[in-house]
Amino acid sequence: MADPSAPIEALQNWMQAVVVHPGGVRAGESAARTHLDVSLEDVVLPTGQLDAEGHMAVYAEAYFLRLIEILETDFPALRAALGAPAFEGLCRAYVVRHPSRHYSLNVFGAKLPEFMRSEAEGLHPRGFLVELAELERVLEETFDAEEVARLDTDALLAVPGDDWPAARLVPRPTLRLCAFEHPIDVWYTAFREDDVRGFPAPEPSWLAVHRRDFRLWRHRLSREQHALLQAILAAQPLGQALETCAALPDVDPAALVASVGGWFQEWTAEGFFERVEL
Amino acid sequence: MADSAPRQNRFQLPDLGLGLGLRSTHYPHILEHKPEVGWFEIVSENFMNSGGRPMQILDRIAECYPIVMHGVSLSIGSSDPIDHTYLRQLGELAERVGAVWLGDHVCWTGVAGHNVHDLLPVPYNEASLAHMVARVKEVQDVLQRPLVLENPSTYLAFRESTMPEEVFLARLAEDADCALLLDVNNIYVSARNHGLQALDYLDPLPYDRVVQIHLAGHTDKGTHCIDTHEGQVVDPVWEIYAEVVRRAGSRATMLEWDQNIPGFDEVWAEAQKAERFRERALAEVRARG
Repeated sequence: MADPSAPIEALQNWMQAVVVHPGGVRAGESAARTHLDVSLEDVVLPTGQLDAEGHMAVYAEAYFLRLIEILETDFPALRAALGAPAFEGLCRAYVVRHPSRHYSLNVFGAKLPEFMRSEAEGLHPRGFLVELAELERVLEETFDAEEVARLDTDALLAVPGDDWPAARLVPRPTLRLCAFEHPIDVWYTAFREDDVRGFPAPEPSWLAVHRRDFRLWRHRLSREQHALLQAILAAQPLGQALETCAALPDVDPAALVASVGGWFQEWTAEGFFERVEL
Repeated sequence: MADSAPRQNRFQLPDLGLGLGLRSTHYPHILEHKPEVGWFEIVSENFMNSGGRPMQILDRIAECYPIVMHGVSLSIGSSDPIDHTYLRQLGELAERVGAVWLGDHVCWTGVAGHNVHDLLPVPYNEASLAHMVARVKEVQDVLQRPLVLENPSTYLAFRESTMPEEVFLARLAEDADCALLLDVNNIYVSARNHGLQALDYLDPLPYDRVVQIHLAGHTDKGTHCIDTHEGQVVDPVWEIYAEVVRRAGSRATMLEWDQNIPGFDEVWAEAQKAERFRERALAEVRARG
């Protein structure tokens, strides 16, 4: 029988263990005995309509449905790629392995790409699916990122030429970079246009995801552009960032120098940067 | 008794009239048409960890309407320590939007660092009461304002409970000196789920502490009801609402609609039905002298 003076902590640990158990409330009841050695019937009053198990099951069923629904909202393309049954199976496994520990559901799916990469079973083609999840996660992060002012193109052009090598461009929190082994943005665009045709073959691709005027944008990048922006995000001065980029295999330094001015003007107009530090 | 009921709440919090839960699907309509809604209630956590478009829109709406904050993760009944980072962010949001008041639910949402994102019930007994009273006081000390706590919808009852939920709620409010949000749909849902009479719930409540009323639809599963915030308010819930108005007087009232949300006009029309019930109830009280 239940100890009528069961401490609140023990009772709550018991109930939580029952509710979140993937095998249902009876399996949860067994697992929860490590917290409190009681049965469902010891704790929960039956009614004319439902027994103790039925009452507790309302909470248990809602738990998984709610969190899976959040992942469905955050990862619609992944759900389409996997198909609904496989996606739900993946989500259930994720909910069990990474239960929410934050008040905000915005961050609940943060570990899903890594979970898919290293732990989830039966994913094929795993590499593509992981990268697709990474893109959707980046979109979510960019949506929620802090809004800050944008660097004005005139301010960029006002930087004296001699100051450029030591200058640092500070990226806005709403800028994220992605490097993929698959043409993820091509596939994602097709998904958005309801025109998906199978999984793509591996092919490196690079992408900037950013927010401008509170809307999300995906900006495809070349390998060199990605390397340069990545160096800027790593807080390298522009001179060093260009050297990093020029050190890539098969990069023509002269062509790079000829291009970067236009790139910076374009990226500034897109709202990639907050300010320039001299 | 209705004819001796207090007409105001003891916190001097305003009767904001009729309001709605602010939902993203209605953002364009609200921004474009500026409908004559008395106020909007937000789910606090939807804005506490986001600096993007929702926050920008909330800033704009807060310039035009009173905002009330209603949280789902304070976990006031949990045995985990109060999360002071959460409290600080809650307070910052309240300041940013000029929240008229803020509240949460009489529940716990997780333990051992977990958040199950559900409003889990506590046993209604002396131990739970003492535990929760101390925590409400702690939160109110930090926020420097009364907490507005809502009766939850519940789907199980504990053998350990020694008092009805409504008595627990009344004693919690008195002992912690906090305010109450009466969700009349939750009263109906919980009564159905536990085989109780919904109107009996109203007898012990301290109406001078009631500052807000929630209305909503629910889903009847046959064996039990679930507080889905879907569909129209059913007649028995309107009856409970009218009875609360008879006892409390007019209070800030809002409608929650969270699943299969229709267009703004349909949701607002459902909320406006409350005016008829409220005016009729107040007229009855006046007629009794």
